[in-house]
Amino acid sequence: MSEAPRGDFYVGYLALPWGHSRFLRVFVPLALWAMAALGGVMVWSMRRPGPAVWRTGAVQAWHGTVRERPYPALELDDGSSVLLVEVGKRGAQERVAGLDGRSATVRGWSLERDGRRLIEVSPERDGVEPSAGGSRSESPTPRALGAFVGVGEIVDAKCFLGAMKPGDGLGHRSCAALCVEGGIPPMLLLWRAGEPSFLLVLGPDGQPIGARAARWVGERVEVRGEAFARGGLIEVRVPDGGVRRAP
Amino acid sequence: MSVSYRMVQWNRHKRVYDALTALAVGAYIAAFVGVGLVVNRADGGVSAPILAMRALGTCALVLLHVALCIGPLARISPLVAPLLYNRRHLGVTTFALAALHAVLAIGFYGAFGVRFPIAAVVDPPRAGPAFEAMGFGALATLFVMAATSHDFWLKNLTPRVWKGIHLCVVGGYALAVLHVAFGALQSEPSRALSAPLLAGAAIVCGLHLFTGWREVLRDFRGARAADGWIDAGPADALPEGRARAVAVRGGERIALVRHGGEVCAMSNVCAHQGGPLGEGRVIDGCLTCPWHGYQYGPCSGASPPPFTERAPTHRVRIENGRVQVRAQEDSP
Ligand code: FES
Repeated sequence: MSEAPRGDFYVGYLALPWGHSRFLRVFVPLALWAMAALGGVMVWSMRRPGPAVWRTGAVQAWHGTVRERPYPALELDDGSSVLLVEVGKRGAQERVAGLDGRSATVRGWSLERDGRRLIEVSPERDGVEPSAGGSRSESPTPRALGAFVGVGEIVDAKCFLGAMKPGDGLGHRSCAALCVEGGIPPMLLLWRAGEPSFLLVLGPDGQPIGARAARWVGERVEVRGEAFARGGLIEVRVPDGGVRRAP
Repeated sequence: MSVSYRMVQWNRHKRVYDALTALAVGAYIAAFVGVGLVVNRADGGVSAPILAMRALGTCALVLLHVALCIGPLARISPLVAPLLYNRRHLGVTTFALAALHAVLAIGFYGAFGVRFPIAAVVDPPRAGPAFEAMGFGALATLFVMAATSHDFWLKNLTPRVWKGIHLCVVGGYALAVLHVAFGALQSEPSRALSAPLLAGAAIVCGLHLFTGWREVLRDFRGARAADGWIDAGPADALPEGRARAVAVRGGERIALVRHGGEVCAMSNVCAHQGGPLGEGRVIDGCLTCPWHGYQYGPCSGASPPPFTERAPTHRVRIENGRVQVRAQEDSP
């Protein structure tokens, strides 16, 4: 046959030439190790999710006074407030409608992070059970703390406190926006010396800011407004135009 | 080469290739998940769907880089040819990983809310760049590549259209890089994540620019036709059974091949995916394409029966010991 020996010429459906075989014997194990090493290094370099805990499992019960506004919450006997949300990406507004100031037992699961707690109300009928014949108590008056300017990230309280880990950052913003649109309280997350603090983000008159906050979640933003304290929660009331991307 | 279409024309190399691809993907994902579980143990771990989403997304991006580097690397060294041979399976695997990444993102970030999950993820209310839509664009591009990767489409769309469609991978790659750069990386302070992305983009662009420039230069230095004939060098410079590409100034390259002592010429462009026939060899009496092994009769340009592919031939003459090739293709 008048043709050159195939030598180092590779054809996929013929036997592997010796040179290629020698090359692949070195390259393939190296490539496999490199893939494993790359996978490990990638995840190792990623931000840690933080110590949020979602206590799923047995349903727990809390007793206190229901607050409808600005966001559904349960005022506990020690004066602290715990925000209430539904299962999924929905606020508990419908569940507590008409119960403002009534004492009630709330059943569900807690989500906790850095001393802040939130309750995911059980979808069962007894998730919020008003005490029989209870009187209504007035909502505590918010205490004005003055003008506020802070740079941080607006998160949805449920994910950040443990429903998703991590529940912040730009990658998570579509979820956070969906939560906020669904009525879950938006919170401004501020970091100081590695410690987070949380401020409830409200409209200019202290009403829920609602879906308006959704477009700012996940970004580093500068928030200007008036700060108030109520039931162990700090609120920041934000006028129109009070949020902008942080420089 | 095929006369009928099957899902995949399997052979041993393809099986080994796919097994090794699966092993590489498995190694990456196992390491990612394993190390992820260990390093985040103190915080109670990353949510399992998010860990999986990240493992799949980053793995797809790594494979996309590999797939894009194989082409130019194969032009630099023939040793890389085995990686090129079944590259389309690498592309399909990349799409599958990216699709799973998207399914998890939509299922976890977009579900259980007040909006339709896909709309919630692809088009969230936002202040900044739409990195989610960029990711969706990249996925759609990879889908088109994967869906049309089969030879059935190559044949029916014609190689030129098919090649044009598959060049869109460049846009898909750019969208994937932007998706990561304007998305996940914005919340990741570590350089260990942005550095590989930058390095990867530099390597992909560098390799393509380098090999592309080399080709352009080769064509630029190509011979000019005089009286319709191109000088292709000394007749004895081409060994038996070997081929060589002749660059033609302002035209398509021509493959010169010596077989049975005779020098013949045909188009340098393989009828399959445009592989360089001038870099092929004569095997079993046929000029064999270096990319996937399509074969052509050295002087007829016709694939051996039952195959029907054909490379246009050119007339050749020897003048004063030099090969001359007619610039004009022979009429079929
Ligand atoms: S390009 Fe595929 S065999 Fe030539």
